[in-house]
Amino acid sequence: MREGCIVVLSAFFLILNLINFAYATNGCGTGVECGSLPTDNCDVTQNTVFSTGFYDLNSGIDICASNISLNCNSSVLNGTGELSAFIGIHVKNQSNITIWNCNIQNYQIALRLEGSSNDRILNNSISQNTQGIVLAEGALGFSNNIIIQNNRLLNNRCFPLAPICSNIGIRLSNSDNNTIINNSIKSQYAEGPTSGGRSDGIDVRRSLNNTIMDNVIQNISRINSLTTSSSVRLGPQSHANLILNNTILDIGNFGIEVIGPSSFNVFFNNTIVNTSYGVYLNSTENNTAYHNNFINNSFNLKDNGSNFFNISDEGNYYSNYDEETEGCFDENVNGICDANLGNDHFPFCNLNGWTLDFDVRSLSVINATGTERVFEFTINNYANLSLANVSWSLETGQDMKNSTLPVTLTPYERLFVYVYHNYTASGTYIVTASAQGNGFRDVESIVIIV
Amino acid sequence: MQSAKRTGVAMLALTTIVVALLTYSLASSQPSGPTTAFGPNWDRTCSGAACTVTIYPFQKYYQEGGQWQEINEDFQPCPSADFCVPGNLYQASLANGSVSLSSGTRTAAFRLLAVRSGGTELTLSYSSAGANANRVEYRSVLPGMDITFSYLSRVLKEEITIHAPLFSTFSDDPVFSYQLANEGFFIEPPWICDAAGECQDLVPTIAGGTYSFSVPLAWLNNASRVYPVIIDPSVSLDNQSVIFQGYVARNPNVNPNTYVRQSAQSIRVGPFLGGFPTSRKIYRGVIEWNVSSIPDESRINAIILTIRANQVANCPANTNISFQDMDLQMASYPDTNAGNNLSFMDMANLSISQPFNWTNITAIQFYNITIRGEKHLEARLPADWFSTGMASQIENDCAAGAATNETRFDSPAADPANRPVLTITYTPLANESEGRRAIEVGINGSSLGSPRIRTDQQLYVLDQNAQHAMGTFDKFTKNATQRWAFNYVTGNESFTNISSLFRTVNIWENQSLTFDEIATQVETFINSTKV
Repeated sequence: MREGCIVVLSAFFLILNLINFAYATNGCGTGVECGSLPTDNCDVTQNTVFSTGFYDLNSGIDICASNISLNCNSSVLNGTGELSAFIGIHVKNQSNITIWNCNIQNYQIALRLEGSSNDRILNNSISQNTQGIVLAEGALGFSNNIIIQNNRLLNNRCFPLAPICSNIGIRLSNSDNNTIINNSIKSQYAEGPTSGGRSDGIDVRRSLNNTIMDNVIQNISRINSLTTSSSVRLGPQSHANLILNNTILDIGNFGIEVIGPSSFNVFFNNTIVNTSYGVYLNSTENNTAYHNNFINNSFNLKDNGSNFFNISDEGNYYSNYDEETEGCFDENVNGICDANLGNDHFPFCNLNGWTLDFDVRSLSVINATGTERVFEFTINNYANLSLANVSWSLETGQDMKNSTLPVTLTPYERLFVYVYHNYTASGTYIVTASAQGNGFRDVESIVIIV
Repeated sequence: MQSAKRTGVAMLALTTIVVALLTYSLASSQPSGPTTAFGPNWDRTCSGAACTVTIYPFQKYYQEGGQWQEINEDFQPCPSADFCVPGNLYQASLANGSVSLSSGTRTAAFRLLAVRSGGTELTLSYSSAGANANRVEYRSVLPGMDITFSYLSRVLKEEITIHAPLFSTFSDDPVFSYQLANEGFFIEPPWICDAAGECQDLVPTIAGGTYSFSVPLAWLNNASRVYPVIIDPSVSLDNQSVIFQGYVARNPNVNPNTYVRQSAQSIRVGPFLGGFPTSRKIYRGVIEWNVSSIPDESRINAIILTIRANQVANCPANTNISFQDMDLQMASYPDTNAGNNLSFMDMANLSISQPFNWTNITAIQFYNITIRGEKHLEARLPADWFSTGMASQIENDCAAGAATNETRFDSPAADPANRPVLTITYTPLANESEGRRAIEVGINGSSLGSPRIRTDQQLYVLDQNAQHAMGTFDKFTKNATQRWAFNYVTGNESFTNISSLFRTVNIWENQSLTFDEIATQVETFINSTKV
């Protein structure tokens, strides 16, 4: 037992030494100007466009001046994929930097900005690194006001032999007021071999007022139960960040994970699919999640603090709580389940329910005798206005049945529709119910076997 | 227009002033034990599921100290006057022809002082007075002229009866002058009618402390006048429009025929030929009842009209009277010749009772007439009125040649002991809210247990016959793949007429049921259709 501890500690100090070595050997003033054909450990001190090519740059390059841009012109900056390949592009204490069109791979950190501000990181492809883009505090302070946009982060993972790995797509540490927008972060996984390994799509620590929006974060998994993965991780001490419009799916542990103390973060309009926990709030207070779609998650919400899952009378949508058979009844036809789900007091009963005024739903077969079928569906008016001349259609797979009687739906009224059809032949049919009126239209389909 | 005022007087005189003061409640609609309730013109006893209400075409009760008291209209001797009525809604006393009325702080007093024509003044005498129940009669105030005061619940009715043409020697219209003090009561416009039903309004004037009206001498001395004639200057507690009771007289001897509505102590029905000089009239009558004491949603089980009748016919063995449900209230018919013509026809249109065969009459007495108008009354309940029009089945000369087949019914203005009443036995039905509640009781009592129940659910069904139907149901519930929709139809609602779709969509619709009947039917329906 004691010997095991000694081995782990020794490995840890080895890693620290390697990091110190890398920092010591990779800095401005130690290399030559990169120019259009970069060499290992070269410096960029002026606006630069690389000649498109594949460059083995195990020590990476440094950005050594402010107010310049680096256009990699789709070049590949390649490390060795070993622990010695520490940083691909290093920006330290420089500002107003634009880095774009770079393919950065096989580094421990593909792109690191520290003590930098007002930068733009655009259209880069970052793969096979342990960490993709890192914003950190430097000698000149935090890294602030940086836009990270349209980057593709794929297959970033821990290097072999890394004893404890933090595999991260984008990390913000001591970095405020940054915007992470429209990036794609896919296929990461946390690996061991011992406990503590993590993989996070976006990791925000001790950072304030950042906006994370319109990103797709997919397939952040973990190799075993000793490791942890999340798509967006906040905390500790990350406050007032805004997480919106992100698509998060196939996450090993947490769709959104917040570690306390972290407060006043807001999560809305995110779609979180196939996670163990959609939102996991650990020892945090006063964070708010609303208008999010939770789909096929093992658990939608876990909160052991005092947080909010609805604003006013609107909460989130949960795919496992959107049907009457799941307990979601909507007697007042406002599109919101009558009973709360956990701490969400106003769960929606439709995907993106907060955008719906008119809804066709619950199409099903409620009678099947021989080839005869009775279909049921509902037309719901969630709006506070009366809808006249609503009509409906049912495509049975064999014919189209249309309403002939004018339907008026008063505000918040539901119409149950029952349609009989006798199929003339066995088979598999797609049945589609649709309704329209007053500029609204909605459709729902099912597949039936006769 | 003349008759309109006269009708107003008659209305008040008949005191069918109805205050829709309902004490009806849910408890009384579903009585669990005998309960009694009162209203201004009704009293009701409920026992079990049925209620019996007796409706009076006049105000019978008033509230005093929060309790309903029966109005006692009888005059009685009193120390400070000849006769008085000390209680009720207003108090009256008569002394030597002087009338004093009071109600709270309101007072009025009047006395007919003189009848004059030109320089001639006739001396009045109030020396001969007698009381009978609610009437005090001063006989021979003038030779051939009596004055009768009738105490009614809200009206003091005065009738000056002139038995013979007293004023044939007058050169000017006789003027009747009253001494008037305080005007705390409403003085009805006076009118005059002869025994043949010919009437005319009189125009009063008030000057100083004098109230007077003149009677056209030409009318009094007309050769067709049938005596006695009656002048009616009544005084009422208030000026309210009340339901009409009376008759319409048709004069078939003029072309076009004339129609005049009239209210009196006696409602005349049938052909009449008589008087002096001989006059021919055909009468039809009506009594309008305020039925607000009956809940709108009720099943009427029986209607009994108890009315005192007298046959003045001489048409042997064939003077049947039929009773009709009036299409309109009398107030809806203009008091014009045309309007009264229409009401006259309405009074004989669509019989709802078995003919009342007057050959059974052996004496002047009360008769219990079964009115077969249960459904008619049910339809009238929301409007709170129900009218029984009365017409003779033979309005021409009978086969034996007799020209008079008249029947006279005592009206609500008759002596209190002789007034008609309407006794209705009914079962309170569930109203809309009760019906909905009963449906829920039925659902929850069914084998479904306590399922979720939706209210006002709209359904659209396209069935196996390609028939489209749509409707809104009071209650709707689901169980697995079965649906049940319930519609209890009340008021202006209508049946959806949606048919059940196999046992998948089960439709129940009904109306006119009691709470328990609904609950039982709903429960049975579910249990019999549940798979």
